[in-house]
Amino acid sequence: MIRSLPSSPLYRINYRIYVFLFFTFLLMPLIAISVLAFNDSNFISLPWNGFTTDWFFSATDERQGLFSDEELIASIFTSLSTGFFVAALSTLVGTLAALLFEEEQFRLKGLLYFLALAPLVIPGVILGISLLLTATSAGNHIEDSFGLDVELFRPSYWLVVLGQFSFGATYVMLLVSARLKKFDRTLEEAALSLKATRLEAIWYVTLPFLRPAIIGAFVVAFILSFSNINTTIFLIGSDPTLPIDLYSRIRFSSTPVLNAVSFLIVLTISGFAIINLFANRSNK
Amino acid sequence: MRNNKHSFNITFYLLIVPVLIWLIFMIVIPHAELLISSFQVEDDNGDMVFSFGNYIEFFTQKIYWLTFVKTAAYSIGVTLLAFIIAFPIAFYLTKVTSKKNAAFLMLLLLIPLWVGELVTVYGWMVLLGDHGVINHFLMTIGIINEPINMLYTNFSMVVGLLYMSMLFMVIPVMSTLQSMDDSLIEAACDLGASKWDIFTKIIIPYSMPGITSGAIIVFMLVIGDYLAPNLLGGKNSLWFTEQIYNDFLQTFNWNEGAAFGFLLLMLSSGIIWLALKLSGQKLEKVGA
Amino acid sequence: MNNILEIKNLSKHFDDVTAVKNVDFAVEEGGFFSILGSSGCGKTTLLRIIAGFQQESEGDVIIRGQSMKGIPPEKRPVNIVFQNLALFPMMNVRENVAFGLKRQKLRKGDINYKVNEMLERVGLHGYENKKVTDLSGGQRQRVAIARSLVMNPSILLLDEPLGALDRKLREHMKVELKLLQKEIGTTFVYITHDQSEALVMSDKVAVMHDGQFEQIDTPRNLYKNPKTSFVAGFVGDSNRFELQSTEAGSMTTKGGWTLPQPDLNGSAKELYIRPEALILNPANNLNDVDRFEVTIKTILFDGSSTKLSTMVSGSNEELLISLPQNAQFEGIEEGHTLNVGIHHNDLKCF
Repeated sequence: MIRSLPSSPLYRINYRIYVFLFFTFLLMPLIAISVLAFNDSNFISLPWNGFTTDWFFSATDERQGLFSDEELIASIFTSLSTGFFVAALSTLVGTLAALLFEEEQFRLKGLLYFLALAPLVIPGVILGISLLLTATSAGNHIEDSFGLDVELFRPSYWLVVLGQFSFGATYVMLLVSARLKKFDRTLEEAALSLKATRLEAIWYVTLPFLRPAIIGAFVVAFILSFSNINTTIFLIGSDPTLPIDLYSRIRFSSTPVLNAVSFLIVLTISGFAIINLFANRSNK
Repeated sequence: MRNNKHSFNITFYLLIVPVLIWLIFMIVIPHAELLISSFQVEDDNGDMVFSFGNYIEFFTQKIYWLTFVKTAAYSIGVTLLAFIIAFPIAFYLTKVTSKKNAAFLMLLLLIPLWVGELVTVYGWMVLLGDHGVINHFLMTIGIINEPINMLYTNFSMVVGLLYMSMLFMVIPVMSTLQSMDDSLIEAACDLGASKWDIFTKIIIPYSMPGITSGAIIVFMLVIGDYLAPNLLGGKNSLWFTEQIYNDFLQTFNWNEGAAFGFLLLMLSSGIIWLALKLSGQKLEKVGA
Repeated sequence: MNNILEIKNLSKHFDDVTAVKNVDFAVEEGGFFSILGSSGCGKTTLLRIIAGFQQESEGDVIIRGQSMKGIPPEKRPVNIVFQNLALFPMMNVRENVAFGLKRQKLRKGDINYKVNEMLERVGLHGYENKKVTDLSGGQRQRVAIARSLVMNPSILLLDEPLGALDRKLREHMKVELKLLQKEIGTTFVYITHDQSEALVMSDKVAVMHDGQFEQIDTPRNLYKNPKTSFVAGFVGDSNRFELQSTEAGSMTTKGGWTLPQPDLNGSAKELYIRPEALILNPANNLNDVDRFEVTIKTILFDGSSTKLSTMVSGSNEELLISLPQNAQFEGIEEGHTLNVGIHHNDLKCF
């Protein structure tokens, strides 16, 4: 059953078959998309017509490859920059929240912590529509009162950033808190007894300790932002993020260029994952 | 620990002010606005007035509450399935295979998670379609002559929902199992327990906190999902989130959409609350 | 007496190390048998092989005359008390103790009767419904032992169960465990790195070193007549000297101390002398005693185990001597010289 307990060969074989099937199930869609990205066909289906890189590099009307599709390239850049801002904002506020809830005692702490965790259990759709409603009525209010049209209060790039930040900060907080729980509080006390101010103690002692978690949290927030649809779709303005662009293409005009984009995403993520694996291994 | 009543503590304010801004402006006010909007309808003059109309609409239109109930039932079913599928994997990775294998398999687990739902849903469209990879394969080796209709059915929708959510069951269960000492299992075995007994009396009760966390996250993701029902589900696979999307993005009936959103929020919080009560857990633990 | 447990030429190889090397011994029914060794000596592996959690590479485990080859842990007539106790955290005291009986599908009344009786016996009556996480270290200990004993095993295996307790409690549990074993008569096989635990509780002790048994003996013999230099150094305190030369009837240490060599062991390299074997101011009429003089360097006061750190006069050797805390030696101070004697039988050469 476990490593140290003997078990029957039949049990072991069945278990292994199950694990194999599970991972096949897991990887099948990714492999299928990636392989079909190189199929020399105008349709996203088999049979295999030979290898081509048209869906990456071609620039003809019939086959517009990924790198000549300006709309697609633009949406990739929109996603990258959105991801960056969301990650930066979430990391900042999430880290502050982690420090606040782990280190400080104050009234209503329980309530605030509950609110900070809420995005974990609120469906993304609801975060999206409530922000849309709020921004719109705030915008209307300002327009009625001051005659100003503030872009932030309409579906727009920055509203998307704010929407994704609203749940991104929660994930950052959890990741940083987990590391902070392992922090030896006496280190901070030692700094204080050496006449550091509390801010200096946090800056020179606590934050360096948290650095790996903060970097990890930044990456997680970026990925959450990069792949989000549920919240984003309500807040999007004139420049779609990559998932939104892909979504509308899937619904209305599928070509293998979708596979090409997906393949690039899978490739990038796998690359990151492998780097992560080796980084972990060399740390041990 | 620290006493903030007696001294003005700059660090404390530096920490709490940004957090308060986040929580008040991004969480509290929007959800209050959602609730208020849901009780408003446009009167004949185009002004917003208080009304229960949006909720009355929900309860009188059969399609709405049927979709609501179906979404809830399917979400619970998918959560159960996710548990059944994921638990043996979590157990395998923590207790059965070697550390080295586990690290590698963990990597494979995380890739679909990080790639994002859209890409993987698209992958299932490519696999399950009438001219998709699976049908092509089955026809080539001669098992079937006609393509099996898999895409745009409840089946494909459930596959998509399971696929995107089950990893969120694996990870929390793994973290509780990691903290479980192997000697507990050995002790049970030493006291004459069968595999089934060990599983039901020791391992499952021990990993209950992880299972609850996983179940809550899976449930929340599934009930709030849009892509899998929309892209993989068929004409009859109506999902409650789709009603909300239609209200907001197609018919622009935002107030009805707000009411539906609020109902969805109540449904998901209600079931999560029930799950926490039944398992005797706190929300604080879910995040860990 | 018949042997309840026999270990026949048992070895266990892991990828690159051999944890247990050709171990061969027997345990008498009703005995308290300890395996004493430092961490990493292979004692835990040996115990886990007996319990069935690990497979032997060679050799055999025989319980009540029956080979245990291929018999899984849950079918062996042994139970184990784990080092970390492995109490089930989600169950209360009663559920923990009843766990094994329930697996045997006994009648509810029988289970209750047995559990109550066992809890009574280990002094936990009234704690039935406590959560195991709410108990003290000593109480958890007793739950773990009760949980195994209630199964009425032929042999109870104990893997350093006292290791996690503080010193006072450990001393107490030592005595309690010994009495419990005498009372119920179950055979105990106990592994520990703490020699005091092994010596106090056991009928027989095996000293294990580097995967092998150095000596199996009664605690008294182990202490009095160590068979190997490892045992002499490991069990009890000893002064250890390296020998420079041994001639007929006499030996000289590296530090230049010459003593008579009673057993004429020409190849001896080491000499062990226990601090408490040294006689202060030996009477003239004692026979077979070698007499010499020491200078006191310092007094290491430690209550009943107070020792003198001394230099042997005319040599460069340090010698620790136990100092009885009685009126006779009250006036002793640093710098004094003392007459000391040692009986020839207490000079252990290897």
